[in-house]
Amino acid sequence: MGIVTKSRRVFAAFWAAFAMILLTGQPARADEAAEAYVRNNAPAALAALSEEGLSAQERQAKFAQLMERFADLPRISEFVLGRYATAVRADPELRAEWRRVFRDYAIAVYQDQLDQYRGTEVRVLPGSRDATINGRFYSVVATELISPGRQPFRAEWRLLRSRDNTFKVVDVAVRLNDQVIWLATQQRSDFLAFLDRNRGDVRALITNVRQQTDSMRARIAQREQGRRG
Amino acid sequence: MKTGFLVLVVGALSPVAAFAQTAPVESPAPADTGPEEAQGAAVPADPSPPPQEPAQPDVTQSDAEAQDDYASAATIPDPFEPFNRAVFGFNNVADRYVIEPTARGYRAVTPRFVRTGVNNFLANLGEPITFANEVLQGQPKRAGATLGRFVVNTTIGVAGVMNPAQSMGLERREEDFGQTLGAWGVGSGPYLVLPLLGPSSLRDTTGLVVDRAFTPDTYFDGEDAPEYRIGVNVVGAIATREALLETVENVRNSSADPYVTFRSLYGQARASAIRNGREDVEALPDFDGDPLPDEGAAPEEPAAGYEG
Repeated sequence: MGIVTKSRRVFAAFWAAFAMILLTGQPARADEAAEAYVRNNAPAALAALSEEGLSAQERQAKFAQLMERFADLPRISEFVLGRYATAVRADPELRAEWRRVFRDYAIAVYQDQLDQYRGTEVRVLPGSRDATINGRFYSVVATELISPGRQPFRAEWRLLRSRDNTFKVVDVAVRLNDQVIWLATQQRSDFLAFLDRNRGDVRALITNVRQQTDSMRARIAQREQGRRG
Repeated sequence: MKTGFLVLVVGALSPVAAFAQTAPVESPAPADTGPEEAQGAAVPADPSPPPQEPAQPDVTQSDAEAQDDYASAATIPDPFEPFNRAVFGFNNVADRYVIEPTARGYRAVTPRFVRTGVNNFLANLGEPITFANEVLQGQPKRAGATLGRFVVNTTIGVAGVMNPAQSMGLERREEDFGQTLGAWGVGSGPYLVLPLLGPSSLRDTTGLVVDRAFTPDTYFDGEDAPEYRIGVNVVGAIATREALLETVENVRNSSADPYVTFRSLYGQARASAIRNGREDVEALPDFDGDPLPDEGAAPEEPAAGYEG
């Protein structure tokens, strides 16, 4: 009896899917497109870090280019300022400067940290989840990151999707068992605490972030030199 | 103390660094870098409270925005920040001079498989705590899985040194009484940094005390019981710190104010643990900013390799 019921359900699901394809003419669901986006773009950045024959400058430029395509860095740069984004948006010069500084910082952070994960395989898990918030469409795509000699690790990518089906990553979550940390959200907490302590002085934050970026770049360069030496 | 949180937290400080970590186990948490490790001059290194002056006049802030920003800047209230920063500084010194060097020595003298066995053994000792709390949270299925994992690993897994339950699909989870209180609707209460144990809250510190009652070795009554308990805690502390060596280093390199970072990460990690990792995608924050292509601006080029 149970088997018969299950078979009926499978058939019903099959016919429902078939009918959807006929009616819409779009066999690829939106969430499948989001999954494909992550599948096609996330490994490219990791590959750039381990690509042979690139100079340090070429590697940095390639990684930066991929990051800028994959993630909506200008949007994230304002999200991480929280309420202080209002002041930045009101000053075009400050806004442009902050975007540049944050872009360099984000790329340096990821280049520095992802270096340990050269050769990592990104496996997209089916079943992304969509939500519409204030008219904007978001998809969360789960992936498993598999590195030789390490425990598989789960990361979730939050994509902002336009109605013309272009995507950009706006946040990444790291997950261990039941604990989840959204990194842009976390970054916002840190920057807000800094701005609160410095009376909302975005220029002080810019100075601080630049120093961190320089320090990370020096470390990356040192590592590159060590590999070549 | 349940420290899966710490593994994630420290890992998450450096994006994606948490890949590397296997979940170590019940032990005191390591101390972390102190503010004096901060790179950049603008963050005060002293543990004094933040200045109380208002934000710049051009920063307008509605009550709703303030609430939103408060929630993200300090997901957990911190009325004892000066005290907490002092304890954080103490933990950092203890880490620098005692805990980290010991953990490096432990790594140097033990092969990886031995360390994995130690981590498994310690994690297995924490299973009764997880089981008791799953029962208290009314989750019989998860409690059954935990019981099964404990029985399998304690027997086939040779007193928990191996983890055969993992390959049977019995994934390791961690529950504690702080999470149980959260699931019952109790708020976090004030943030607390505990000496040597690290980030906590009033609710979770209460949970730590209650969890002792669920730990079998609390009831061991042999001549060697005190030495055993001390031994387990010391080994647990060293094993946890060893697993965090690289990631703590990453924190020292990339966080301007680790105290703040730990506080907000603690809030995020505990909130998600109380929800058992379930994510409400409707409740995630909105990223406003420039109009999207469908909101009136020129369409952007899709990224390379995009297959819509």
